[in-house]
Amino acid sequence: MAKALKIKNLNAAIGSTKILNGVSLDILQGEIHIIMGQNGSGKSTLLSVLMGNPKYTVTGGSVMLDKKDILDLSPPQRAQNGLFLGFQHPQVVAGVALGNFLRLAKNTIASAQKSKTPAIGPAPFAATLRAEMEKLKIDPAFMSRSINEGFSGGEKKKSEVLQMAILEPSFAFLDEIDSGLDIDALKIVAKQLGVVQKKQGMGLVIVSHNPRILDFIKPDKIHIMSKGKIIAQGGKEIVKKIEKDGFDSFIKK
Amino acid sequence: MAVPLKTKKMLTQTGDNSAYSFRTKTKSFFASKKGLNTDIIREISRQKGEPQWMLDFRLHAYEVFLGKEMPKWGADLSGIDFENIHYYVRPQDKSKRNWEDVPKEIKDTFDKLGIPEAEKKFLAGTGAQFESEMIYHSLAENLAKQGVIFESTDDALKNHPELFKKHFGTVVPPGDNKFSALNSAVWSGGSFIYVPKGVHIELPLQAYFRINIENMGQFERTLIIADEGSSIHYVEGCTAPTYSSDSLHSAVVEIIVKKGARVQYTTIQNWSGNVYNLVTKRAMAYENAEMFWLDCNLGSKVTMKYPSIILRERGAKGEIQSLAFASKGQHQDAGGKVMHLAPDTSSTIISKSISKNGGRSTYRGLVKVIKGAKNVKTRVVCDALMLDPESRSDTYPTMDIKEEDVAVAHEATVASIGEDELFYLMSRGLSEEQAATLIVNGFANPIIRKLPMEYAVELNRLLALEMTGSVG
Amino acid sequence: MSQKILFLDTIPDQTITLKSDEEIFVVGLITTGWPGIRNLVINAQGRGSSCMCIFFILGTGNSSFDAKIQAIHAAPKTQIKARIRSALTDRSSCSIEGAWSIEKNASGADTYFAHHTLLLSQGASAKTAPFLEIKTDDVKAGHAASVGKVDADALFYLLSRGISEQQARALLVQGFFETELEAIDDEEIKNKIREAVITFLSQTK
Repeated sequence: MAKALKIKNLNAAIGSTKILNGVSLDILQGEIHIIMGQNGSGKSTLLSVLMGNPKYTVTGGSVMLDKKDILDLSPPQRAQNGLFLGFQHPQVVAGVALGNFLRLAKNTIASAQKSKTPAIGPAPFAATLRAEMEKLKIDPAFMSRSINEGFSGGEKKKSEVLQMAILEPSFAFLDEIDSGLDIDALKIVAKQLGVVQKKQGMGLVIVSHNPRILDFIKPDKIHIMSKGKIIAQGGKEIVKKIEKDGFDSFIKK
Repeated sequence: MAVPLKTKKMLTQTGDNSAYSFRTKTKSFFASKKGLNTDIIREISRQKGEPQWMLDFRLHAYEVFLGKEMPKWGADLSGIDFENIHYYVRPQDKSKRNWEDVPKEIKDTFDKLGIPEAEKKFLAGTGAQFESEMIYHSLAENLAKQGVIFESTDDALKNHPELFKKHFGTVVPPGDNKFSALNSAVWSGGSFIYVPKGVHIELPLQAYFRINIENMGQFERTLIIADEGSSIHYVEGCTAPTYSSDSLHSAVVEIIVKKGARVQYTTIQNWSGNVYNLVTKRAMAYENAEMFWLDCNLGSKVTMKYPSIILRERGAKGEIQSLAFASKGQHQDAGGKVMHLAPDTSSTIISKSISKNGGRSTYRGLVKVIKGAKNVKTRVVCDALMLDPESRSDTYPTMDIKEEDVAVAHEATVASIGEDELFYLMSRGLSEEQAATLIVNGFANPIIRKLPMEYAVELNRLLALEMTGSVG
Repeated sequence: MSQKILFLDTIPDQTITLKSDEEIFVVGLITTGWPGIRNLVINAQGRGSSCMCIFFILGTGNSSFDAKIQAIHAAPKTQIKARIRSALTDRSSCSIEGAWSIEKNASGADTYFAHHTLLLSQGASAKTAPFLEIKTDDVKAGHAASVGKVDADALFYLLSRGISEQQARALLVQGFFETELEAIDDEEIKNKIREAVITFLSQTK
C-alpha cells in the first residue's frame, strides 16, 4: 500500500522571522513533485523543516506520515521512518569516511525499522556502494575519503543522490539538486534518479528555481511557492505556462 | 596653503619641518614647567576652572600613577623621561580658525563636498587639538538642532556636567594601567560627543591634533556616548613634526554604545619618529550594539595600543581592524581585545602589519569568552608582511574560552614578498620597486578601503612613498 | 620525513635539541592531566633539522593540561611543526602557549603551530596562545587555533541520515582526530589513538 505524506498548513520561523506561512501539500509514494519559486520563497526552508533542522521553529500545522505526525520526531527518527533530505549545500565532514558512515546509517535505519535482514558487513556493503557510485560516475576511491571532501559543488549533489540510493527512503526531498551540475552530469543524475525512484517506489519532492529541470524530470505535479505559501499547483498546463511566461507570471496575484 | 604629508624619512634626513608651517606661528601662553607633581595638577585644574570632583579625580589618579609599575611586557619604554615633559600648554589664541593648518585629507573632504574654505551648513564639526586645547572648533547647525553634542572635553565638563560625570571614567578607570592613570591626572583636550536616541550622523565627525613644542605631552581624553539606536563615525587623523627630544602621547578614549547603536572610530596615526604613543581605547557595547575600531598606525617611535571592546549584552557585535607599518627605528605594538560577556555576541579582529628596514611590528590580542556567553562567534585573522631580513614581526594572540557553545577561530600567516609574484608583475613591465609597492598596497588594501576615501587616498600615497628606495 | 616516532603519553618537561639534518617525529596520546605547567622546548640548532609534533589530548574529569611549547629556529632551513587537537569534557581544561621564534640566522625556516579544541561539556574550558616572533624575512610561518563545540550543521547532516545523536557526535569527535592521523604511518600507533578516542567517547555522556 502506498504511503502518504500529508503536509497541512505548515508554519515555521527562523528566530523571529516567519518563513513558512501555511504550506499544504500531499504526496503519495511513487509520485514525483517539483516545487519551484524564486529565491527566498521558502522552498528550501520547507525541506529543512520536514527533516527537523533545529534552526527552524514550527509555529503551526502538521505533517502526517500515514497516522504519525512526524513533527514530533527527531531528525534520526524521521530518517528511520523513511524520509531523506538531499541538502542544498552538503557538508564536508572531515575525518568521517563516506563508506563507513553510510553503512552505519543503513544498518541503524534497518534495525529501527525492525528489518528481518541482518546488518550488512563491510565487504558486501562496499560492493553495493561501488556499483551505485559507478552508475553516477563517482570515483569509487571517494568511498574511503571524508564525506564530501574534495568534491566540487556538482559532485556533492551527486553524492546526495548516491546516499539516497543506498538508504532507500520512502520519501526523498532534494533541494536544488540541479544546481552546480553541467548538462552531462545533470543527465546522469536525472536518469539515475528516475531509475532509483521507480525501483523503490519513492515519493520524490524536488525543489528548484530553474525551469530547465523540467527537461530532465517529468513530474506528476508542480507547485509554485512564493512568500512561504504554495500559490499555484497543477500538472502539464503549469509546465507550459512556465515555459512561456516564467514562473514570475504566477506571482502577480 | 597646506603642504602634503611628507615621509618621515625625508623629515629625519633633512631636519626640515617646513612641511608644518603652523609650527612657527605658535606662541604658547602658558606652558607648565617640566615634570609632574600635585602643584602642577592643581594649577591645570585651576586654569581650566574645573569643579572640585574633577580635581579630586585627578589627584587620586596621580597617586595611582605613582603607585603603578611600568608594564613588564610590550615595547621598550625605557626612553621615556617623565621629568622632562611639559604636561600642559595653553595657547594664546583660543578658538581661532586656522585653515592653513588643516591636513590635506581633511581639506579634501571639504573639497569633495564642494565647500570652499569657508564653512557651510553641511560641515560637521571639527575640533583640532593644538597645544592641549581645542582651538579649531565649530558645530554645524543641523547637528546642534538634532541634540548632538560635539565639544572639547574641557567644555563639555562645564556645559553638560551631569551627562559628563555619569559616564566619565566608567569605561577606562584610572587604575586600569599606568598610562590611563597618568592621563586621568593630566588630561586636557579631546572630544566629547553625545548622540541622542535614534539620531544618525551621516558624515564622519573629524578631529585632528598635533604635538608642537619640544617635550610636549599630549594627554587628550575623548568620550563618546551613542544613545539607543543612534550611529556615528568619528575619524581621528594626526600629524606631528620632528623634534629632538622624545615626546609622550598618552591618550584615553572611552566609548559607550547603547542598545542598538553603532559607532565607528577610525584613527590614522602618523606621529613623528620620536614619539611614544601609548593609548588606552575601550568601548562598552550594550544589547545589539555595534562597535567598529579601525586603527592605522604608521608613525611614532613606539606605539602601544590595543583597542578593546566589551560585549556586555546579548547580540552585541564588535569589529577591530588594525593596520601597522613599522619602518626603521619603529616599534608598532598594536592589536585588539574583545571580551564576550553575553550570549549571541560576535566579533572579528583583522590585523595586517608590514615591517621594513629593521622596523618591528607586533600584534597583541585577546579574545575572552566567559561562562554562560553562549552562541558566541569570533574570528581573528592576523597577517604579517616582512620586506627584508632586518625587520621583525611578532604575533601574540590569546584565546581564553570558558564556554562550550562557541565557535572561535584564529589564523595567522607571515610572509615576505613572493619571488613569483614579483616576477609576474615585473614581466608585465613594472620595475621591482613598482611591483613591490603594488603588492604592499594589495596586502593593506582590505583595511585601507574601509577608510573614508580621502584618507584612503592619502594613506596609499604614503605607503607608496615609504616604498621608494626600499627595494634593491 | 623518516618516521622514527617518539611516542609520548604526556607533554614532558624536556628540551629536544636537533642536530644538523636530524629529523624527529613526536606523537603524543595524552589522556592524563598534570598539575602546573610543563615546558617542552624544541631547539632546531642544526642546519636542515626538522621536527613534527602531533598531540592528541583527551580530557575527562578534572584533568588539566597546561603546557608551554617553545620552538626555536636557530639555524638555516629548519622546520618545526606542531599540531595539537584536544577534546575536553566534564570539567577538564587545556591551556597551551606556543612560543615560536625564528632567529635572525634562521632563513629558510618553515614553521607551523595549530591548536584545535572541541569542548564537549558545560564545564570544559580552553586557553590557547600561539605566539610567534620572527626576526628574518625568508620564512614560511603560520598558525591557527580554534575552539568550539561540535558543528551544528555537520551534526544535523549526519542525524538526517538516521543515526542517533550519540553516534553522530561520536563520529564527529572521531573525525576531528582522524584528520591528523593521516600524517602518521605507523598503524599500531594510529590504532592506539583510535581506541583511546573510543574509550574517551564511552566516558562522555
